[in-house]
Amino acid sequence: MAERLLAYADRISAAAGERIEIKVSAPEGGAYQAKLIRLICGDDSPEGPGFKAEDIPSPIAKSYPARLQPIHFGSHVEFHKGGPLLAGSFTFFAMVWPTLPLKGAPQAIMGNFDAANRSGCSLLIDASGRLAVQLGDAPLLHLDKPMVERQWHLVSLAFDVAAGTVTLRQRVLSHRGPGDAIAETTRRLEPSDAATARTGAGVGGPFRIAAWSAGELAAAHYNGKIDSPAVIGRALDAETIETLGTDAKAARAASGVLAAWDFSQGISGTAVTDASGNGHQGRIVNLPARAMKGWNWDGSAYDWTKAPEQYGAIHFHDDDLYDCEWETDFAWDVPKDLKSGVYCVQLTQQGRSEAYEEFVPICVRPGPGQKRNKLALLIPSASYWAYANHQMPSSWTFNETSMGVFETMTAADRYLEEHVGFGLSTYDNHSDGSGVCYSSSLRPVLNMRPKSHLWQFNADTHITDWLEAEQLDYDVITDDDLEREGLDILKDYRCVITGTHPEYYTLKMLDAVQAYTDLGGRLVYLGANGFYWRIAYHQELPGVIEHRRAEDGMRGWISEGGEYYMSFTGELGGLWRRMDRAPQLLCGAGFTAQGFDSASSYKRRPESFDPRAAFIFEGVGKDEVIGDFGTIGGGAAGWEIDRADLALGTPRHALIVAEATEFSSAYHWVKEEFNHTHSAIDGDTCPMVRCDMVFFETPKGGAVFSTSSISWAGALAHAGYKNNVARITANVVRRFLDPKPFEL
Amino acid sequence: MYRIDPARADLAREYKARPNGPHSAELQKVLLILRWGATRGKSVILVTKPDREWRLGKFGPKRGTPMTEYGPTYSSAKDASWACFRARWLETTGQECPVE
Repeated sequence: MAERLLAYADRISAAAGERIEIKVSAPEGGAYQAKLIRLICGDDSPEGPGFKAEDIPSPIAKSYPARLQPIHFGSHVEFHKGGPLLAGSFTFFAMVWPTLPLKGAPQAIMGNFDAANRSGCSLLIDASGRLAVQLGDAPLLHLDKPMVERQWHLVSLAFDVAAGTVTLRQRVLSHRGPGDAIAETTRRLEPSDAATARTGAGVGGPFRIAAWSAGELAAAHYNGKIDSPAVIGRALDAETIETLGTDAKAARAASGVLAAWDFSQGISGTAVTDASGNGHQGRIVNLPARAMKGWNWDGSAYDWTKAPEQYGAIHFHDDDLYDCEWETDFAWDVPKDLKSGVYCVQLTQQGRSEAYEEFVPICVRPGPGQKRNKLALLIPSASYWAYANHQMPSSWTFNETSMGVFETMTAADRYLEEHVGFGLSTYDNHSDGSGVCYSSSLRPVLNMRPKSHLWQFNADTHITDWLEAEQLDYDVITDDDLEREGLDILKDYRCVITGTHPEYYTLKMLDAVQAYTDLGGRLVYLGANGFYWRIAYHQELPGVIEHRRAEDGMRGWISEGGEYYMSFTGELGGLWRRMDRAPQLLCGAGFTAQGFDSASSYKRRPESFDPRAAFIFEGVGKDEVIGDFGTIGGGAAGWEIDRADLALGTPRHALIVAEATEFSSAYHWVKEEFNHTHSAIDGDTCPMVRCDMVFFETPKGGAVFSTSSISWAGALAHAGYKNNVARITANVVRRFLDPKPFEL
Repeated sequence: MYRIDPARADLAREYKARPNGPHSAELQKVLLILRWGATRGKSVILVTKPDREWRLGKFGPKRGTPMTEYGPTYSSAKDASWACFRARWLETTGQECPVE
């Protein structure tokens, strides 16, 4: 599965003095080499500034034995004590909503079948999409009628020891088509098969939901929702199954109940509750989606916290992944006196047919008591996680029409396409077509590397490159730190610079940055489409975010109605602008359009000659075109662009000091802003497709400057950093570092 | 609905000259149709050596299956885009693009 050298760290950010653990998989064996670098620029493209890094002497710089570390992906429920014991007669039943019945491989719903020794019993969807039972080594028994994709079914398996029979049954709850809603079959077992099932204890593997066992591992992962699964220690007839299967409370108290799980309890966590009182508590593995509408959702509640009993479903996926759980190969003790910055553990290995190179980025922030610089670069790590290992080329049917170019697959894109198991991003669809709402950092993230596509992490190294060229001392902090510490991590900085695309923000993060500007902090927003989506970090599990693509916005997928509220926190997901927190409130500009064929340039507006803005344009001619160059589309205004808008919160006193208005037809106005479809939405026809450079003062002597363009940073290095984009950026940052208050 | 006229060499020549645009209104329609829908099953561009070499290729039948490469290598992104345009023209219209 993973034949090349790959690695990740236990987190992206470490304070000087802390220990960070590096986990490596190097399947070709032999040895690999590690060293530490301080990254200055990761853009190795011919048009860019070039890859720049400093070697940092470190005890970790040596050779290590190489080994394969596997990834076990796919979500399911496992049980601490093996789950209910199957002995004598029993019945499984559950509500299920299969999403990929025609996967072409078995998908286990529940049971204890172990494929390693072919014993035990599981209810499943077979390779032909039909409800089936796997009973030891006996031939698979299945219903004739296929299951219906994305329809709720009450499914059951009853094993009757006395009669020596097994009965499979399904009822489609909202049956509309021809034929019967119910399918049922009863088979008398061959004596040997009946004996196998009757043996009970010790046969089969541990009980699992949404998978079965293959020795120690889980296999045959199921795709779809499961709600209210139960095991009863006797063979139930159809009438009783209907009664108990549609009444969870009755099932929990049923005679002979062994387990009756209630997935609506503990939705924000990983525990799975056995509501029968028999103590078969379990835990979810690899973060299947919780807070999912159950079979009984009636549309009366959209917020799962208000009606959890209607959110008793978990949506499992065969490609879910939370934590690779690789063993640590080595740990780096960040020296207490190491200066803050973006560092990478660089790994190399000469493989049998090619030389491998891998980087693990680590943002080192100042340690407790360590002197801080006055300038901080706020690395948008939450947005890195949102995009982590994205596979838009295969997830999206609209990627090319959105991007305005033919799909161009880098080596990393291709590797992810050809190797399932590295987890997906919040931009992707699972293999069953459902949207990915969780994304984790505990895995190799191939698009968060130097020498990779100039988007997010690698594009942000254009900023570190310029900071170094400008000889500005700076600290590096991350969204992960901001989420943990809030305003405390910002308040001592005189000036904070964002990354190029800080798109994903939690409430705590947004409140912290807003408070920072309200308290006199100076914010330089060197990007666009920032502060756009509301997300949540998990409250217990490290390194994972949740996003629901609710209601509107430029969405890779669309949340199902009724599934807009995040499972991690119970907060509404979606656009901040739909929650009275449009980005214009914070930085004067918010997402207005995107296009990826070419970038544009700015022209000064009359407001740029206001004395308040004079410092910004010092050394820039009054008619000078700003940023008609750069590595990102050939201009400084482009890719994603923001617009000022008083109605959305741009402060009344804000100055729109420059604007870019000339964009191609590949640029499109953001969809949350037009209420009817029409054709006047592109760069040729829509005046909302523009990029506003904004400046305004804030209370207590602070100020905000927004370039409103993702392409901006890609122009900083042009002509040896002697250009008007670099000049304006330096003018702003240096003034923002000056303690002299801005007057409001 | 707009239908691509496979004999329209003028539109193909326009794309060949300026693959990154700007494009005429009619070429924009052609490109939207060539790019509509899932890319699985269609020709796409593969970066075979970063910033130096490109080829055309296709996705496998599903994630986790190998992509295939085909045809010559190209030494510029522009040439690869033109090759992809020609491949899509054939895949979409059933006829060879009239411009080499």
